[in-house]
Amino acid sequence: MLAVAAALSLLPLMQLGAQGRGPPLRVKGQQSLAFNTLLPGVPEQVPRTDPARSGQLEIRGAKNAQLMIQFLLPQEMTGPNGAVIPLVFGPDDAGFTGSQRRGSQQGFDPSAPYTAILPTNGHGFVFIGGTAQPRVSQPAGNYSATVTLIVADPGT
Amino acid sequence: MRTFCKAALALALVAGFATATAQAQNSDFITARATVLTPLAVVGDADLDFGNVFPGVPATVAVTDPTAGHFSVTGADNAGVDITFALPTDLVFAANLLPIAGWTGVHNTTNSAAGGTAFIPSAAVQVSRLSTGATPGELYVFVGATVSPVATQPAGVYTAPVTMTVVYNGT
Repeated sequence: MLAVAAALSLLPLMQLGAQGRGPPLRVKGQQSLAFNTLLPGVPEQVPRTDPARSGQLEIRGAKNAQLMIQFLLPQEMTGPNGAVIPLVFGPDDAGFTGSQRRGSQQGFDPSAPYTAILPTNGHGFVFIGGTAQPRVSQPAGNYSATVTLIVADPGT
Repeated sequence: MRTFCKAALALALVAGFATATAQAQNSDFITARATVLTPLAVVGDADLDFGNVFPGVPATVAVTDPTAGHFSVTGADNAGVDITFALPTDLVFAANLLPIAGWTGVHNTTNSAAGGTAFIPSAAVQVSRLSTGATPGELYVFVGATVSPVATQPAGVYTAPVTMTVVYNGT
């Protein structure tokens, strides 16, 4: 009887915890940062506002939640036989918006943490651009790297 | 019983907070990707050869002459390129100088000066484009000039390098 009483006491407390937090915080990658075709020796910049080539991630969470956003950025893309292409991310290469319209982004530096507030629908988008710098002697082939976005709700 | 219930309540509170903390951070990733096309290759195929030159008699090699200078370029299909030259002002034999000037050039996507685009080789950029279609990624450059030996030009074999540089221009 003691064990049953303890189990019953846990449920309402855990439900209260879920209601107070709102929907779970989720991040989902939606579009690659696509430099597409590069010519050896010719740098290529992708603006964060480029609709087809800029990277895009979606954030879902509690309405009006204040979030801490942090990128883990690669220094280079890796290709055939270990060849690399340097990547540069400038101070305005990332953006956040509560709508999916790239033109309404607020720009920020992807190399530093950024504080954003989700709108009332709990839905936000992060965009990222950057510059690839292939060398004159860059070997031909496909190159790639991983760009990670970490989102935290420090209000927990 | 009171002690047991207090312990259960404390455990429940810890579990609740632990669940909330696990929901307050998330991460995902995207891929940065690119495809690098064929690097440019430039080969000097044939020297600009004036042959035997007589003192006091200028000699010219036209771009259409068989002894015109010749470069072959290979790279990406239909890619735009910038061409520049580093040109000598004299051919050299020991301490003797043979002036050279009047540079002429033709660039063409087929290996013939006929039908190509005429230009003046220099350090200034000459824009061109590699071939596309059945034989993509090719460009040929022909170079001519005029040497002007003085009447007292010492006999000998005079030479100097003619350097052509080609880079992708992103077009």
